[in-house]
Amino acid sequence: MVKMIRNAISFLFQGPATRKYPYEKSEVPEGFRGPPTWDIERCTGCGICARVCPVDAIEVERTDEKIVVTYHLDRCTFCSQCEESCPRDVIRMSKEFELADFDREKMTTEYVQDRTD
Amino acid sequence: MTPRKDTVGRKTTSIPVGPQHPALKEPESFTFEIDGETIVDVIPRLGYVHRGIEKAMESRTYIQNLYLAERICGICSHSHTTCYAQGVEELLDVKIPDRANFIRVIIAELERIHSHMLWLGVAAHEIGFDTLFMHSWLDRELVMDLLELISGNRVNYAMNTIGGVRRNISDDGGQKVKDSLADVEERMKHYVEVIKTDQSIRQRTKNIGPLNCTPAADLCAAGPTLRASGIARDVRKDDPYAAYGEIPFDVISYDGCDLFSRTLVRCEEILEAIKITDYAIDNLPEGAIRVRAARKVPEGRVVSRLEAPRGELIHYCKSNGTDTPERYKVRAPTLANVLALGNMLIGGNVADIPIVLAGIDPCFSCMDRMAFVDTKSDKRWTWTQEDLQRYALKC
Repeated sequence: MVKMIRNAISFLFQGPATRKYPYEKSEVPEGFRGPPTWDIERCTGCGICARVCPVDAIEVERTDEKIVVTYHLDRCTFCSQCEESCPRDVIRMSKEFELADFDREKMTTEYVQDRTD
Repeated sequence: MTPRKDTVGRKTTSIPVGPQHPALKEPESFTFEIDGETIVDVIPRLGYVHRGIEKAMESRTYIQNLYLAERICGICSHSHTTCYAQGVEELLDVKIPDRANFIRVIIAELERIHSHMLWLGVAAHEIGFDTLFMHSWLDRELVMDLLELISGNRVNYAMNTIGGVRRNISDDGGQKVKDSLADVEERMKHYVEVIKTDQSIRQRTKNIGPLNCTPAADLCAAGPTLRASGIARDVRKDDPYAAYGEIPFDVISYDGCDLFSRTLVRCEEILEAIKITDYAIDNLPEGAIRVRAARKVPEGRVVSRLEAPRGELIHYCKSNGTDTPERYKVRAPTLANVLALGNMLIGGNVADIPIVLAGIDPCFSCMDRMAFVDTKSDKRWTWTQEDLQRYALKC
């Protein structure tokens, strides 16, 4: 008990172990797996990302006019299998981590590539 | 479990503990028969967090199942994916590169360190020693940060893939791991000293929750629970997988057969895990981290096992030549240890219930696998051993 009391007292003279979040944010490491983002202009619309996604968070629609990638943040588990499977390195995992929202509709992102040019 | 015969006819009082949070923040129900302050019988009732993961695995591809297997447990997520990947690799007859095996070991040992530190905090909290709880969880953050640094996520590392691992460990990353672990080692040595000398910890754990060597072996207890009963059984040593065959380490065991021993086994296992990690980083072989594996798995069945932080973890997979498994089964270590709880609790005091329950480091949501519910009539039932045998033979 005495040993741990000594421990506890030493902490009175150190700074707090926690951060003043949200005013002070922690830095995420290199390679952090946040939500994926698409460099849509380079996308061929092959749909591999949608096929490998374990939670159906990605939909890919390809027509003669456009390629539409719909990403559902509310389903995503940030496993980064889509990033790994993409044959053209179009997908990158971002470093965002404040992802909560009150509205589920806002959690869907659409990436559109115009193919008419 | 059925009530013990010698309690029938005796005037006892039933106390239900759970299903809300009997030990950790997970639901499981225990009915205690008590005579005064003494526990005379305990009846566990399992199945509150059955999530249907095994059935869900049958409708996903082998790659997708990696991430589902990972979510069986929030603490030993790497153990479940390693066990899964090992099984599928055996079915595919794929040999993974040495570097991948070493990286699997590094992550597995980091996971063991943070799991045992989490347990130490929980156990300290259950015996009312919250200072130790706060401090051990603060130090655990060092390990969580390391895992985030290596894998990109604190909890679901997603390091494994079929045919190896997905991310490499750089020299710089390896050095950071070693530096942080040196701090953790120093702190853990201090905690071992505290545990060995502190009177309040000794009084709350010495000779509490006894589980002797013979019943521990008979009831197939696993992991630190078994090793604290004097049986040095460890899958890492007995049936080496990944790179454990090439790494020197000791299996920690104590023969106190009580909670005190269980605490010491886990704390010293952390020190041993630090040694294993350091050795694996120093001797990390060069080369590729993964090999290509086929998408479709040939027909066959496999049982794979490994030493998760809580004990022996067993996965069974039956494949049918397609890209999805036909049947999948998981036996988590808590299921092996939950039977031994009866022995530990009977004869003990009511006040010791939380710490004895926490003493096996239960992970109830990993364990709950099977219950039958007829949705039309809302009828529920479970299978007996004979039913299970019949079903097994039919398969």
